[in-house]
Amino acid sequence: MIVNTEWLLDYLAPRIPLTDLLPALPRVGLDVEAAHVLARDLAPVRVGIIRAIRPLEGAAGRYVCDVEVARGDVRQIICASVHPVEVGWGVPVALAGTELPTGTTIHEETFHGVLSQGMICLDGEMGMVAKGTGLQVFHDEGLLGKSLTDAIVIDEALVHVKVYPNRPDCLGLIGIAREVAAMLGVRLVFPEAPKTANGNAAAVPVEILAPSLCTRYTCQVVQGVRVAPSPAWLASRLMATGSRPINNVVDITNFVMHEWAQPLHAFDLHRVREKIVVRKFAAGESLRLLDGRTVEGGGGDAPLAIADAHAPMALAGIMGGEMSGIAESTADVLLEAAHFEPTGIRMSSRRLGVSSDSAYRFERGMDPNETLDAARERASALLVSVAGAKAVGAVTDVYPSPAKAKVFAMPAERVSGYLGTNVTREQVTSSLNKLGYKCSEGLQRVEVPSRRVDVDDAVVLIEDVARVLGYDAIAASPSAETPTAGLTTALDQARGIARRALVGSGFLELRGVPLEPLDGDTRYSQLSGPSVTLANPLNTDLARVRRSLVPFLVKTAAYNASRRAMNFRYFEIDKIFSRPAAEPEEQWALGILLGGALNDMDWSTRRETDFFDLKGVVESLLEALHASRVMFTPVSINGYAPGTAAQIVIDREIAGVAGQIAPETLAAERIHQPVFAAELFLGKLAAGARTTPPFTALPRYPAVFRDLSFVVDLAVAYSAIEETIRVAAGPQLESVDCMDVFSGKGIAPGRRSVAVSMVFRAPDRTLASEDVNAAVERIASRLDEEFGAEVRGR
Amino acid sequence: MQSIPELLERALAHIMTSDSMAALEQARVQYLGKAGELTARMKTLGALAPEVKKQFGQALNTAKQNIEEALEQRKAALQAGVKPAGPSLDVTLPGRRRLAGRVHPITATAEAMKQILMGLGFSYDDYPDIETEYYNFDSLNTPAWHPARDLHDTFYTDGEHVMRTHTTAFQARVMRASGGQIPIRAMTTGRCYRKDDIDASHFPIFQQLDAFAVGYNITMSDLRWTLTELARGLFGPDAKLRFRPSYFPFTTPSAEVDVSCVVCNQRGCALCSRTGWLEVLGSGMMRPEVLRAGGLDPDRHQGFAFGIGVDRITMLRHQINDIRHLYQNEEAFLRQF
Ligand SMILES: [Zn+2]
Repeated sequence: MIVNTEWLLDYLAPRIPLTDLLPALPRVGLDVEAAHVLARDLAPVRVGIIRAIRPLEGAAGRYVCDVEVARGDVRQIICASVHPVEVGWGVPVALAGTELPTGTTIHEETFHGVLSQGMICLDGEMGMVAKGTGLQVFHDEGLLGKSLTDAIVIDEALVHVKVYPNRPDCLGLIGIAREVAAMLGVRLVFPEAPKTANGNAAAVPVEILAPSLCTRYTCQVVQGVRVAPSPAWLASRLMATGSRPINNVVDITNFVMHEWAQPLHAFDLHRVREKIVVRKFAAGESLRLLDGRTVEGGGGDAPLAIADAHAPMALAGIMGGEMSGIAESTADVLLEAAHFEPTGIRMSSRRLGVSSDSAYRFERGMDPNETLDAARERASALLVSVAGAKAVGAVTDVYPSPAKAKVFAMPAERVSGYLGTNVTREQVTSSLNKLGYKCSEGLQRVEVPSRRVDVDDAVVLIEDVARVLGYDAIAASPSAETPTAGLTTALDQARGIARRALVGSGFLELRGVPLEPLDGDTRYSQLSGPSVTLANPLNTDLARVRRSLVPFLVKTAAYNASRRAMNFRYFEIDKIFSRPAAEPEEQWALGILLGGALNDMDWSTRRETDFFDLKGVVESLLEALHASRVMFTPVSINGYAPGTAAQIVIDREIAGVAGQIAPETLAAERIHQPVFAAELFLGKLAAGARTTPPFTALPRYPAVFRDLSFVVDLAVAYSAIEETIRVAAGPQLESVDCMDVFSGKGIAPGRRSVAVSMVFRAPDRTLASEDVNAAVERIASRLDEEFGAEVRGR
Repeated sequence: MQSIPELLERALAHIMTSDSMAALEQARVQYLGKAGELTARMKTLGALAPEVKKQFGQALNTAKQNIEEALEQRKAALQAGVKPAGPSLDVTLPGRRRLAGRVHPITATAEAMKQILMGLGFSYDDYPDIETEYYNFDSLNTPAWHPARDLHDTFYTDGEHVMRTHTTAFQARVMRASGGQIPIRAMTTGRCYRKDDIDASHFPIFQQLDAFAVGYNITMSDLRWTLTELARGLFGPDAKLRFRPSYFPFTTPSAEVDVSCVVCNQRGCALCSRTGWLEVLGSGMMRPEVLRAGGLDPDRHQGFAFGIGVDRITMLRHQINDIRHLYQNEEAFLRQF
């Protein structure tokens, strides 16, 4: 909603300077999106002097003006005849490129082959409300080229505000003025609306057939209007706040809606046959709306119509019909002020895709009582004073079950106990009174004004008191409640450990996009069931929830590779999703990607990463998480190059995979080096991780060290060798480590040499050499038996 | 004239860096030759007072011995083919290493907030990204007909599940899990999703951090204190807060909170649009409907809640001007933090 402060000040007394008024708007609870102080923001508008005027050929009512905008600089501007202009007049000119406070930007445009280089600005077009005839005119050559802000004193601001959905009463300036008056301690001034019911026209009867959708319907006949363009003060106000003036009768209904928030509608009385019937559209009925669209009836949730005795004339509360509206020939008007239930309006507006300022207000909730009457009275008074109406008839008012005032108790102690600041009974009473509540002596009965549809609980009263007193009146003081210990979860701790371990190993943490394209890569995933897709995606690129972190890691590698950052050490911790059964499921994952030079800041040597670097990273990470009994077993997973992938098994549970990304995937991303990735189920790691491992007694007797080197077939897995060594060695084998693996020169084809280093120790004595030698003998012969290993150097 | 230790130091350095026999002989002549620098000092001894002469003489002799030893050692080293120590080790070459790892600035910011809030007694847990409509909206006093649902353009995955539009959805889950045990101080952070078109300040995916406290006497004043402490921890001890009335269906009173501009110290700059204030979070006292949805009794229990856009705080902390940087993961960006 756009608020012109000059217009707002019509309802406040005494006059408040802008420096006080502007800061009051956020205090009220309005979200101020932009505040244009016109004395500053109209600076780009200059005074230009019209040197010649000629009609624009082929366009009735348009003129081509030669306007001198600076000494010797004459521009051609096309203007419409909304306001007459004359040669020699100085006028405000906005040249192409100027952005006006209303939000309009002026462009060079061509009409009928003639170029227009700017705009001659009416007051309203600049966001100013009327001063005189609606156009600033200067008869002083000395002002040529001067900024408008130097030529006249401007003391207005145009404020773009968002009214939150709970406060539809502030969708009219009087609603805002009421709040400002309460905050600043000034007086609210209601507009004049002298009662003029002097007509003798018969009142139009009204029937409400859908009382759950239309709570109240009032209307009034206004006779003898002269439909014409609105006077400058009215047109400027509408223009400044973003409405296009149409004619005085329609403009008055719009003006009063901006003033009182209450939407009104004006019918041409002679189009209304016999009576008004508020009912649903019947099957087969249709209505062409003011915006050219057609609404059709039929079905259970047909929209609500304002009909006469024969046919619908308007889509109730949303938009009028094309035929029953005000035309130039209209002489008598039927003025409607009604109240519609928010939900009905909302559903119809949604379903039909028809929105309007009127629907916007009704669907948030209007006041069925005083405001409705005040708005109708104001409009009929303006039809007399502005549109020349001769007579105003009696009001038809159908209000089957009038709304009862809501009442709450709000003792001062409750306000104090909620805000945490001492508030007196006087403060509560005076704050609520300023906002129109009626308070009993002890605040046991606080009656809510009917326009405040948002007050559905006593806590809203507390907010109102806090707003009037100012939120700064609430002191910051530490809690009187017993504080709790701030704890976190094992999973959160595991994330922290993993993050620190990987960052310490030189990895960059990524923050990916969890939504992926519908045709995105679905490989790598270890989750079962289909992907979770969005029913209403923004576009096809963000249409599915990811089921693996690897695709984004690969995409990021490609993005950075194209910027010559080719040494990838990335990880991401985030959720992955799928739908294994009816319900969607999500779990935490850790994705790692590794590629390029392992030592990227090394000027002497360069080593490319391979699978064992990735495996080392994973192993270090698992060690940091205290994971035990970790196994890597070969597996085939879509997306990883065949024969390169391993399943990571911890305590017999699958905890993730690691492998080399398929080269063809990388080639498609223009990456021409091996890339390795791993994806771990972090939730499982966290569940198994012991963050406070128990102490094991330190060894007290010396260890005996033995190396063993042997040649086996390439097909024999190292893990099998190690397992055999452990079994054969018995409990005195403390550790066995792989020292060297070698094949090639000196080794028979199809075989490899493996060297291990072993540590033997007994917990209760110093091991004798003979004991260890016997163990090594056992190991050697078992390796021979099982794998045909030739033990070397023996 | 140089002191004897200075002379000695210079001589030793000269000897250590002599890289040929000829250069070494030149060094010997320069210090110990007939007209050498040390020899010249020896010649001045005769003119000195006896007690000074003795002391000075001893020092000269020690220096001479040191130089002679160094000459011998260097001679042996040159014969053995050892290069002079100095110039061959270029200590200015970069060390051999890999580039350091980095935490993503969003994570770093979320973790910083978590640490501060844990210190204030808030416990952390994670909650679903794919949330039921009930927890995301209904439990937060936002029934289907509520116009506030217009504020969220929500992604649906099926009839009753949405991608959560705010982490506030965790409130009723926490309260129900507590089984009515009071006090509660809880927080969570995570991804949220809204149907926003992508531009410099909007991304359909963003991260939020939400927290709330429920007790018998938790007040708006506690809220103010908690947020002030959080702001001081995040933005420094001089950070100031401003509370403005606002609207959320799940809080009343509601407050939008601004922090004093982190760049201009309230003198006015482009970041704060010359207002000196930056909008950082939404907060308020929890609605009775929300407490009831969590199985608590609004006649006995009351609490505050707040929610923060982690992306926005990250951008403010590092003065990042485009939200898209956060999700592009360009290495040149990630390495800055
Ligand atoms: Zn600033």
